Amino acid sequence: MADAAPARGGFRGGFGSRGGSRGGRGGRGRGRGRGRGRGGKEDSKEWVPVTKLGRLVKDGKIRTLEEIYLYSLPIKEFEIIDFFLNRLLKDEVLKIMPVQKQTRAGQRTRFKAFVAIGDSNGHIGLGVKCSKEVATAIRGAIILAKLSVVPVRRGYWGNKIGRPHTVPCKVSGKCGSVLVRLIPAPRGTGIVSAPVPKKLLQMAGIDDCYTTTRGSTTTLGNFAKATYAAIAKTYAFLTPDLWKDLPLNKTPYQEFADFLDKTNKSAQRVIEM
Amino acid sequence: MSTNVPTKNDAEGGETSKTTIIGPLNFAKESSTDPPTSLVNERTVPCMFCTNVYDFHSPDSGADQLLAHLYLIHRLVVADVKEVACLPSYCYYWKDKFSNEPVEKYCSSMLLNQLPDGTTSQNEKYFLLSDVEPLDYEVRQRLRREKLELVLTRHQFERTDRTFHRGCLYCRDYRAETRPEYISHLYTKHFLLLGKPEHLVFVDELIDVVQDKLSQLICLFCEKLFKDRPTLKEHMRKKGHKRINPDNHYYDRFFLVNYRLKQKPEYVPIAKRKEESRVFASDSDSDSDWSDWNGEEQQTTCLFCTHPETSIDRLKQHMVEKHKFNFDQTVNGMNFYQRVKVVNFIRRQMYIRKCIACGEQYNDYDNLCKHLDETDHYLLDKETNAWDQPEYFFPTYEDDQFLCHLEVVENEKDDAAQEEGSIVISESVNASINLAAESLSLENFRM
Repeated sequence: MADAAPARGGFRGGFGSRGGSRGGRGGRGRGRGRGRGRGGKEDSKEWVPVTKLGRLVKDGKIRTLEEIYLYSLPIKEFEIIDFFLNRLLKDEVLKIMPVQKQTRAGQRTRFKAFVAIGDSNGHIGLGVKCSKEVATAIRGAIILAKLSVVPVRRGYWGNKIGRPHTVPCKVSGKCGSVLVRLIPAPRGTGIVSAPVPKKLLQMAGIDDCYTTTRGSTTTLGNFAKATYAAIAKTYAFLTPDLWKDLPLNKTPYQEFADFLDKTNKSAQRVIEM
Repeated sequence: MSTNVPTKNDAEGGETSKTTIIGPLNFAKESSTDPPTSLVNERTVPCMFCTNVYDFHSPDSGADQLLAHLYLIHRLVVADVKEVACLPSYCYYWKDKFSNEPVEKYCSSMLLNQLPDGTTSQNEKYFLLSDVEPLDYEVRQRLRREKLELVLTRHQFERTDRTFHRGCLYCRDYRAETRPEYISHLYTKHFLLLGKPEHLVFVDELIDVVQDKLSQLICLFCEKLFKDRPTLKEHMRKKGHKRINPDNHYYDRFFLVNYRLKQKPEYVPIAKRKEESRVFASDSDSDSDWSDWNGEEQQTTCLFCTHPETSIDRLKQHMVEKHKFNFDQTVNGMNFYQRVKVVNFIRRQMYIRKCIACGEQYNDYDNLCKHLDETDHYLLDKETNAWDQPEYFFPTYEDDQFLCHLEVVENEKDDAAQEEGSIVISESVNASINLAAESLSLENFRM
């Protein structure tokens, strides 16, 4: 109390002003500069797109992620996904495991991070990355997971009330020896499966589902990948309501060709799609 | 999840049976403990030969005391003791071994011309415990692996755990929920650099140590004693001592990078560190290989008793042998949804102690089993189809793995046929605009 109050006052007073003049503190340099290191927060550098799709997205010519999926355009920059789904996406580290390689100088250990990402409302992605440091592996895996985000089609059981909650039909996915089949379930069933696919299905936004599995499900990596493949198939399945012919639209590259030509400087190297 | 069961009339008519509503059931017990912070108890580490105990967490290093004691009293030296991943576990292991066998069996001995305290003597025997001995080598490797796994599990837990609840060391009113937030707060608001949250582990202990030092008025970096708090604060601020001394090896165990290699990485000052390599730089085959992550087998429990099995075929075999119940025969000809109902029905009836065939109610499990054995009622009543109710769509046990093995999945082509008894409507598929995402992207959209 006697120690606490003046300590606090002295501490704050030492900086000369209350709270927020970060610029003032940084500017005073001397000992303070050393403390700051590489910046207090993550540097949010401006995104400079290097692909045509990236440029279209940054300038708002493409309004939703679904348009990109409609034309099956490959996404090579994770910032595109961030642009549409930034705060909605939640990532979860499924596992960090050490992998070892024998070298002449002993054993080299690296860390492998498995990450799943989803917005619990129709998008899911999976990524894996190996690196010398845990943080780098996690960051890399998150980026790869974002690049692999796919849309999830859901459906209703019985009557079309409320939001869709289950898979639209029986879909199955295979990876390695593991085969996972997702089966529609009535509302309120929950997800009936092993823990690993349960997490993925929850992140995809599927509320109710039965699963059937086959193969060596102890290889959790293949198990997760098989579930992801099954979830991705929901949009690949041709149901009768999709039989109708839709008019053929121009792809975004054709539609905005003038815009792309204008902004493309000849000196700038652009990755051709 | 509780099921709302409508009252139904018995075959006799007149009497209605109300079924109770049961709360969520689980096979697996809730594991509410946090991941451990150490492999063994590190506060009462015993000496390998006698009954002395040492506290490895005490401020005057228990490890050094133990090693000194081993040398002076028992004349044992451990080779490469700094390389041992977990010295307490190592001591426990060798204590066990030395209690049965003589020291010479595992240690190499050498003769020196002096006593442990330095006075000259002739031909005194000393023992060296090193990894030349194969058991010792194995122990060291095993400990390194276990320690690494422990550290990774703890790190993963600390990244996301929301039950941290610790007040800031400097300000009164800040309470963080997760450890990374706490560390970031200490850095951004108070410029106290303990390290990046993703590189730290055992954060609770680290904060305790730092708090201790500050309350004893000792500088974190240079360890000098000051006479009061404002002087200490001023010193730490002016000298740039609001960080951990990289040369001080006491703090090594809080940093994840030290558990990785045999050779400790050298400390590179922040200014000289190269930009972390771009994520796409190295992508060898093992990087994107998903198949080396192995987990444990999921346990499935028998429908009638508590016998667990890892393989579904063995479980069905058990049911045939012990309970004379052939699952495949019983569900022969049923579609998937009917099988689900059968399983949930049996589970429920067993839980509320009712016979699955005749519906008689019993008070406890043993009586029910006796009845089932005597009357051979391990079968379903095909007449009334009591199990074919929509309430049995919902799993009785939330983590019932039996439901994941109900049909033989031959290949992917089976998907096309739709099951009878279910109508599933898919959601409409126009590239409909997700309003939430649109508002976010409009925020970023600049003309």
